[in-house]
Amino acid sequence: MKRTKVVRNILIALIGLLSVAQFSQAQMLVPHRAKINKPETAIFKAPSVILMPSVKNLYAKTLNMSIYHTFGIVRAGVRQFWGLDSGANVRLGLDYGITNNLSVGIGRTSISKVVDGRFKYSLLHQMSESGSPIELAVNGDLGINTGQRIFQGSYGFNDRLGYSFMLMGARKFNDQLSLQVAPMITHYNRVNVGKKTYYGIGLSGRYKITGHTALALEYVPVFNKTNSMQNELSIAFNIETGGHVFQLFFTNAQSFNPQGILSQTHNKFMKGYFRFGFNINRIFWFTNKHNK
Amino acid sequence: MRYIQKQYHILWIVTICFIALLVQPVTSMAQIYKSKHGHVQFFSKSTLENFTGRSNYLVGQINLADSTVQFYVDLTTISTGVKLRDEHMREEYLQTDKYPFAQFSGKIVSPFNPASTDTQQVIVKGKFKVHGVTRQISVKGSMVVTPQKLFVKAAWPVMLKDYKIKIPEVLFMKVSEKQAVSIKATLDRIQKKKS
Repeated sequence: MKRTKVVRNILIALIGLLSVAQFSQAQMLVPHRAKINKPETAIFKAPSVILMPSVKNLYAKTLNMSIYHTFGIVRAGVRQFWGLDSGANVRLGLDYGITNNLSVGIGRTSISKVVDGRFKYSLLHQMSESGSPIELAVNGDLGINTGQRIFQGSYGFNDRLGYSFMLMGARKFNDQLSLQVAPMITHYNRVNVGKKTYYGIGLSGRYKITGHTALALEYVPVFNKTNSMQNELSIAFNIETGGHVFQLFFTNAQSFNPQGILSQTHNKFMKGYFRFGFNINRIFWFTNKHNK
Repeated sequence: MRYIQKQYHILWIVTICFIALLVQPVTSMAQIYKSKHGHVQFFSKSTLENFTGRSNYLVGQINLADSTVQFYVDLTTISTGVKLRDEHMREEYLQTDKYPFAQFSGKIVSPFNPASTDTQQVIVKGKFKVHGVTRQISVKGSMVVTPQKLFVKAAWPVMLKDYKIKIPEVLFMKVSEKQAVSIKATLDRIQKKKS
């Protein structure tokens, strides 16, 4: 009888002491994410979504080297090894970040021997805590067709030029999903067929699957297209590591600059007329050796 | 006789509980120092260029009553001065999506006099967690206590492989395995809340 009461008392005391001990343990530091208002990074990982420019700009003093590559039409079948035998087209490009908001680039595409110069300027950055909810940038591209006998009869330098200009608005909704809308206008000084000026809207997105892989989609409806033209549709599987974005994709486009993509896409993706391609984007940075 | 003994027993228990409840929170509250903007940095040697990653978001709490020392930093706040390098560091090496914090939780194991206002060398032992790996470490540092503030400085090496962090290697640049981590913080004494 006496012993059970003693045991009970000890138990009560222990419970009392334990609750006291817990009280003092409540002083444990529980980590919280720091709330700093800064621009979102990696809305897109590369300066292009697939073939079209992305809202992502290069940081100052960084250089992006890109190789775009497509093969022939997959539907050509086994005789053409599903397009890998022929129809290859390559654009080699370099883009450089002059400031954190302005980058310029040059490139050369093998089809039509187009040499193009481009710039991208960031107008607004999507902020993590407060401020702009979207990222906004403009992109301009000037292409020079350096091929021979591109028109009948005589033609001058101006006739070789084609331009594009677009306003890109994008938002990174979460770590996985980013979407971009880009109204654009393209113009050629001289054309053999069709119109000189086209209007379109680039709709694109990126969806991250794992830490290093993502899907990307690009669809560019053209408002005033002619009967023979098609809207560009590209779908890509991205492998994204630190400084690399490697893309494997299918596209119905054959050009690598916006003016060409808008006005010279003739293949029907849904009928199986698309090409296999791959892109490599590699970013390098340059800084002073003595960064203390 | 038996009745009296029992009385004493209960009295003893009640007294202990009472004293513990009353005294402990008060004394410990009075000796807690906190900081939200301490400085933490790591110095990285590499074959091409040396660089330093810094953050001023080191959160710390030191309780002189029970000698506990706790620190953590949100690793996404670390900047190396090159934005692209920061992005690589976060995504490739520290993997801050999965492991957002570096944390330390330990105790002062060297003799320490809370009443002295001199600079005192201390040894703190505890658990350091980064990149999902927790290891027992011993850190040498110094502390200065004033009535309102506590100044802390400490430095220790972190071997990347101990924490399963890949060694950054880009082209012909390779970052050293050993990172020199140091912290510096001014902690404010927490005022007892008035009820």
